[in-house]
Amino acid sequence: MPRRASDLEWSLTLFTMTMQLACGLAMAATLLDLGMRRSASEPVRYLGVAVFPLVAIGVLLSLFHLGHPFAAWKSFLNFGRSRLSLEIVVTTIFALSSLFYSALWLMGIARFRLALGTGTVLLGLATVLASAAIYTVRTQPFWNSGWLPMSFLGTTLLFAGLVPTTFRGLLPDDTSARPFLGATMVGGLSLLVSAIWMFRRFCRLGQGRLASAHLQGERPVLSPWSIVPFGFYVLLTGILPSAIALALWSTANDWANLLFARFSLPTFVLISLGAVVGRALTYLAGTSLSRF
Amino acid sequence: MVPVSIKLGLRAFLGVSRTAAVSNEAGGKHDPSTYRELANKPAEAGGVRIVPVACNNDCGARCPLKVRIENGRITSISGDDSPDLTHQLQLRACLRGRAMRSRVSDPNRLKYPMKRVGERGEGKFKRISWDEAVDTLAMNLKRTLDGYGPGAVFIHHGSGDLGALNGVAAAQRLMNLLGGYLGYYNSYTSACLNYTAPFITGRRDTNSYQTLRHSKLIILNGFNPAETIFEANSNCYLSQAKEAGARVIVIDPRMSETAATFGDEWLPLKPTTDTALFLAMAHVMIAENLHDQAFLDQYCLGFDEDHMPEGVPAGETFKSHVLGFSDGTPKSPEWAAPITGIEADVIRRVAREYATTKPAQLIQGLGPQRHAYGEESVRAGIVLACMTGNLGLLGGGWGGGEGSRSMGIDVGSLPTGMNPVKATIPVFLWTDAIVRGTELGASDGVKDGPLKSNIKFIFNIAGNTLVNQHADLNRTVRILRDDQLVEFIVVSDQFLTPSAKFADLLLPADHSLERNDIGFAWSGEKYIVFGNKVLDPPGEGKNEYWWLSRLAEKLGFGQEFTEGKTREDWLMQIVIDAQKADPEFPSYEELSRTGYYRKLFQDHVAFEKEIREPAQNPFQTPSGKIEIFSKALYDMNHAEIPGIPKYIAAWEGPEDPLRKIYPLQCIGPHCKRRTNSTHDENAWMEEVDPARMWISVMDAVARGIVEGDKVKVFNRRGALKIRAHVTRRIRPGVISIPQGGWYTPDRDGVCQRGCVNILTSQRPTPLAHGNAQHTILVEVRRA
Amino acid sequence: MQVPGTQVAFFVDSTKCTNCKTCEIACKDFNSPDDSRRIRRVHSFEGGEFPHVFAYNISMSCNHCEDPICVEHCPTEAYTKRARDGIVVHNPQRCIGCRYCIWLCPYGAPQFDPVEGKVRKCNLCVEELDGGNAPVCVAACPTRAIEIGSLADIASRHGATASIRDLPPADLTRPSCRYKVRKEALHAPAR
Repeated sequence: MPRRASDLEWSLTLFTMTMQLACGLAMAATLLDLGMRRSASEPVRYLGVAVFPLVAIGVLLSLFHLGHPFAAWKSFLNFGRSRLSLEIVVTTIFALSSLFYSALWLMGIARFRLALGTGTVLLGLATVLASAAIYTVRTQPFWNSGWLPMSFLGTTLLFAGLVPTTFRGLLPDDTSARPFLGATMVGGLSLLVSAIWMFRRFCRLGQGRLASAHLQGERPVLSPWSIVPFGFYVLLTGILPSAIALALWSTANDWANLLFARFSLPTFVLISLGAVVGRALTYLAGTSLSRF
Repeated sequence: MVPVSIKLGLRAFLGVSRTAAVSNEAGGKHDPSTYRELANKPAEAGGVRIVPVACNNDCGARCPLKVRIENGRITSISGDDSPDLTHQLQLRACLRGRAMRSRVSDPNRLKYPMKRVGERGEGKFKRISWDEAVDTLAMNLKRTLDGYGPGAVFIHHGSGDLGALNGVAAAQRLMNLLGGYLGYYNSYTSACLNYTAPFITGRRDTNSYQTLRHSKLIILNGFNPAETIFEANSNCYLSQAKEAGARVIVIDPRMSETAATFGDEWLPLKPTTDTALFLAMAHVMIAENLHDQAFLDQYCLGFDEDHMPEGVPAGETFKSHVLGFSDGTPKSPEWAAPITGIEADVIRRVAREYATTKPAQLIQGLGPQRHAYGEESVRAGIVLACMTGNLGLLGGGWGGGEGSRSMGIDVGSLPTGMNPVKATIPVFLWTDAIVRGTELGASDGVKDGPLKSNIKFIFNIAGNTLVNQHADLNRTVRILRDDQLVEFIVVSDQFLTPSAKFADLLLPADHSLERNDIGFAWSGEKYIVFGNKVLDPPGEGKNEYWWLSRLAEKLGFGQEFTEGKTREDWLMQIVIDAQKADPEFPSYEELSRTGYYRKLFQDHVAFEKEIREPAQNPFQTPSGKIEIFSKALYDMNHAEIPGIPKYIAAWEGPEDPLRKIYPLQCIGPHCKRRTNSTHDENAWMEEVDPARMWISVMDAVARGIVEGDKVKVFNRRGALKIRAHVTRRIRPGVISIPQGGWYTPDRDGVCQRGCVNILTSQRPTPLAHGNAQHTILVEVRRA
Repeated sequence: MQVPGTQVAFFVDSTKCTNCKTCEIACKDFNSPDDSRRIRRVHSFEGGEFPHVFAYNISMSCNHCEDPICVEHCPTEAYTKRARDGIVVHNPQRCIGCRYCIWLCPYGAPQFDPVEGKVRKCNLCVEELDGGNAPVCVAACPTRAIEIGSLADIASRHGATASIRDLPPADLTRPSCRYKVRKEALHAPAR
């Protein structure tokens, strides 16, 4: 079968990304809400309000993947057995929860916001784990491994930490940046570890696949040049965030603070781009290993 | 490139419902849709019919097929549904016949008569009415006949439709009434085989494939029924033979599908060297005294000095040639190894095996005889079979691929009458007959010549030989473009083929599903098929008989041409005549209902009578024996036509110094997705088997080519582009480009669709004057 | 044709398969003539070193697995495994084109068409079977390489295997198919 650009699975790449971003934002918002004791600062509000639109966009993007988006409701039917059906159910509940959560932020209502936020975060994590479960099935040896949930959760944590770090205005004062720097570092390191884990697994499985492709006279879609975007991904999502978090750990580190202050937005964009590239590359690698 | 999923989503958002469009699309789906429907068989309601049709392409089968028609539309095709018995296997169709829906409903079908505007070959046409078309045709034909005589009219080789009432036969019938036409002998299929074998065995004949199950050893030389489909069940018989314990050796430059599936051993020899291999095998048999001397003594002439005709000096025997007495070079395996590329001990082993196994079958396909000196490989094969005594045995014999229709059922076709023009040319030389027809002589293969005129008028019906299938396309189109040479070309076809582009008058033809017709199997089984008309031709498509009748009318021979009969009447007449010859032959109605008539086939052993009762059944040669030495050929005194089979190094062969510039030999085998050039336009065929050139791993690596790369293949005569398939299944030094791709030149004349004939040569073989289209030297580069 | 309650399976004698693609076209003509799908596919493999080369062909549609992962995870329950003969049937009416089954199936059985927006798969010609006829590929194969029968019967045939080089391990979904292959095509020993 000839390989096409559609194997990059843009709609699923972006769907998982936005879900993980939304969950991360919900985490950040709830954490900040906890630290603020009911006084909502303007910038934090944006964080909270953004959760539901992101979830909505993600869900819409996932519909693009379907042949018949308007029949998407049928996907609830096999809820008891199908991992995909379960994921869709969980995502829907997450979406509903985030709707109310974002509404509370939008309307400036503090009552129940913390509780709802906690619930939304838990549902968000459930969504992330459920979406990981879709991939870790026995017939896909490349995906059926710990690197995948690690990558998904790591991305979530990375975003949870990175957004407040980047948009400093969200934070009441400097010292409260540490939890987020920590999250950024843990997230980044998890992505680094999962990327290496994934790479090793690909090499091991790919050996057999490449051999059989050779046997069939095929040329696999991944070439030695694919290492370039992969390196890009590892650098931007694994190493850079952790490095930034380390550099900013000490508030006395003026040059780091100044540098980051100037380039925070482009850095954020770059890291997000790296995450998207990495996810897309993962799909490409995965589909290039399918046999028949 | 927009990813599929987003494109989909946009369409959905725009509210375009695709499901509705697809399920309403007529002529398409047999839809096993809902679970409820799946659980219950859908009732055969009134709107459903199953009708037998025929596939009349140029292959060795001729399969009965059925179409399922629902509400006036074909929804699926099925095959022979009679019981599949061991002694009478079903006649199962191949992928091509089963893809006929994709072909018949192709929107590119020619629909209207057209006349050329612009230069000939540009492919620019203007629609005209049938009346104008027939008038134009009549005018030009009359002008040609008046100006040049009937010998200036050439009815081209066209095998796209082989029904009983095919257009070529109809055109021949008409021309015979108008004074005749320049006929031809040979074919592009089996020139060397058909011309040469009679010199040795008197007539051509082959053991039927059913007998393969009796063979202990089967040697296939350039024979690939797995792709070419030589009879509907040849592959089934081969697999039965293997089950019965036969060992199969395949001699072929590439590991064809036949070699891959059925071959126990593959001898990847260099193209054009088959004769050398056979001579070396003969050497082993003689040197080790393994040959069947008794057989040779009894039935053959020319093996040794004791069995030679009168008046021939000593040293002209096959034995003396092989042992090197006559020319100082023993044709040993060591001599053959560098020539053929097969190791000497392999040659030795295979020779011993063949000599000591009975019954053993040697089948030479049509590939090796489409080479330079193809005549010699045919002769050498027969001789080798004789040396092992494997002729005329059940399971033992020699075959030249296709058998002969004498094994079939006696049913006639449209009678064409006698051609008053006696001169004939070898078909491969038709371009020469355009340029210098009157100068051609007996040495060019003209029989009953000389020609009174060059070719001035060409009928090209259901054929793509005018351009696509002939050799040296650049030369061919140069000749055709000049409308001072050939003054008028009329083409009748279903599609705008490369040949059709050179028409002055282009007429839309019907498809076998659009007419009633009878089809004949090549041989091997006893059956004929009947195809019903189930569709109307698109637009104003017409059967050739229709417009030829009108043409005849215009020229004053209407009654003589039609004899008052429509096409249908002729078909019925054929059936009536067949019933007279065979009381069991069904009526027209029954034939139309069942779709075929089949008789139980008995194993056919070629030359059985000649071997069993030689005195009463001599071979139909001058001496009455198998002529290993042919005095007739010897007396021709031609350096390239020896009295006994000899290996002659081919022009553009592995020993040609031209290899310094064009190092790769290129063969152009038939492939599974086309029947010659038919079905190149078929979308389904393109899906299953897109055009690929086979190149060995070694040659690919040397040129930096990887799987799927677009490459340019070129020599002095022309160039083409095609994608490469890098494979172990071909000998280094050889590439393979499947023949039949449609000639699609770009601005620079480079064919974009891999038509191998842009590389082939028009040089004919010496004896048969046949096509040596597999003998080419080329170079390959990444494009 | 089949005993009630018995798993139907394909038996393909790859040693007779010539890669002619007739099964692909017969299936396509019957099931999906108007799109780009080939519900039955023949894959050709080669190996060895010139001139000791081997090649073999694997014709496969859907293996109607005993443990079908498509049935388990299709979100809309578009797949059902028939109780009486184990045929895994795909119902296009339920399909929403999510393509999860394509991702799940180790054998590439489901095929998606972007125009229709749905998946289709070999349904073992259930209509033909229920009418007492053979599936289209079985009826079409010129060398009679494809057969169907009960899995128990087919699995017990000499040389029948589902462990073929480059095919997924048979224990993942337990395909109801068996192949007779040349020895070079058997699963390479584990590294």
